[in-house]
This record gives sequence, C-alpha cells and structure tokens, in this order.
Amino acid sequence: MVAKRKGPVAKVAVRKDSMTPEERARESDRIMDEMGGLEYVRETFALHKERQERLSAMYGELKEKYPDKWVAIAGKEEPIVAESRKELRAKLDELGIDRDTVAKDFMRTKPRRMIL
Amino acid sequence: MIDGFFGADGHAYLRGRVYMPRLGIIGSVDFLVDTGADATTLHPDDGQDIGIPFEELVNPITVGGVGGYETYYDEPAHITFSGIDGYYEFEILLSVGKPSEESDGLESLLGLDILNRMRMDYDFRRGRVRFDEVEADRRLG
Repeated sequence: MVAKRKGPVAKVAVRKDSMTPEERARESDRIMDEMGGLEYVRETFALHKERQERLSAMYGELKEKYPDKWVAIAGKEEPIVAESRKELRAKLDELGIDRDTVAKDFMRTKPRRMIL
Repeated sequence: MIDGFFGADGHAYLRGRVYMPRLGIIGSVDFLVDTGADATTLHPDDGQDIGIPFEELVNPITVGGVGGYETYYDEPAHITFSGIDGYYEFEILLSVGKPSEESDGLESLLGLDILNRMRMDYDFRRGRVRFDEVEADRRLG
C-alpha cells in the first residue's frame, strides 16, 4: 500500500529527542494516565491475552458450532455469538462487557482470497 | 518482547492500544501484521468498535492498493503494545478509513512504519509470531 499526501501535512507529533529524561518520564506517565492508567492497561492486555488463547484453542470447535458467525470470548461463560460486528458490539454493550478485554473472531468456513 | 497471535483465518495479528489525543479516542485493536503495507491503518470496523467520530477526520490522503485508490485520513496516534517486560509506545500518523462498501470487513493493518522498528520472528507451524529488539518512541509502565 502506498500513501500519497494530498491534503495539508498534519502537525505530527515528532520524536521528542530534545526532552530531558525527566521530561520523557513525565510524558510517558501522562500518556499512560490518558490511556486509563497502568493498572487498567495491564488488566486489559492480560484479560485479552487469556481470552485470545482460549479462543485460539477453540477455533475448530467454534467453527463447527457457529459457522460464519462472529464469536467473542468475554469470560468463563458461553461465547457471545452474532451475525455481524455491529450486532456483536451491541450485545457486548448490552451485557456491560468492556470491549477492550474481549477476544473476538469471525468463524469463517469458506476461505477468503485476500491480497493486501 | 511482544507476542502476537494467529487468528482463525491463519493470519498474524498484534493487539495494540490506540490513543488518538485530538479525537479523545482510546481503544484496543487487533492489527493484521502486513509487511505489504507502508502505513499502519485503521479500517472502519475497528474504528466503529473504538468509537471514531468519522465526520471529524481531517488531513485526507490518497492510498493506493491492489484494489485501486482510496481516501484515508491521517490522524496523530499513540499505539501501545504489551511486552513481557513492559509497554512499548509508538507515536505515528495513523491512516484512518471511513466506512464504505469497499472497506467493509477489512482488517486494520500493522504496516512498515512500525514493523521496520522491530525484529519479527514468524513461525506459523509453531503458532508463534513474536517481536523483539523493539525501537519504540517510549517505554511505558
């Protein structure tokens, strides 16, 4: 994929090489806080990792049980199943599940030819 | 060291936490590892998942791919990956696509702007896709 700019170049946040180590540390803390704080970020990644491992281990079974459906692993309970991403989003929101912690995938039964 | 995973489609993915300060957006996205993509790209399905206000996108760019040319929007973003020894944050211009028939169902892409800053160990047979020697803009946490 090749990108050609035609609009004004955005004011990109450039690497802040001129910052002192203390300023860099403060900047890192600020970004982490903006993202929800270290504890939240840690928990989010950890929950996703555990759920993604479960989902990966169940691909065969899930494809058989829920062919061509979206499936999300969000806890110990049964997977959440939907016809579309939109429906999956709505179900997760309805159940009050944090989308960031969910492992989800489409249980495709017919291979899709992709050239990227 | 950062671990990715293989999806049900057999492609390699890496989960990142995306923070877009101008839009106030924070959310997690599974990026398809794509050495054919120059730029890291957020496609509409994931954009909708994390609540992108598409009407507020500015800085249009034309992006060419095998399927033709499409308009994307450059947006400053921080993308953070979780490693076994902490968090690695990249500050990039993320190419964001608006919803359209053509982009429906497309995965978001982890492109060379990030991939060229780490070493990748890709081993499908062992179910392992791993990144190390990471040159991030910042280490967090």
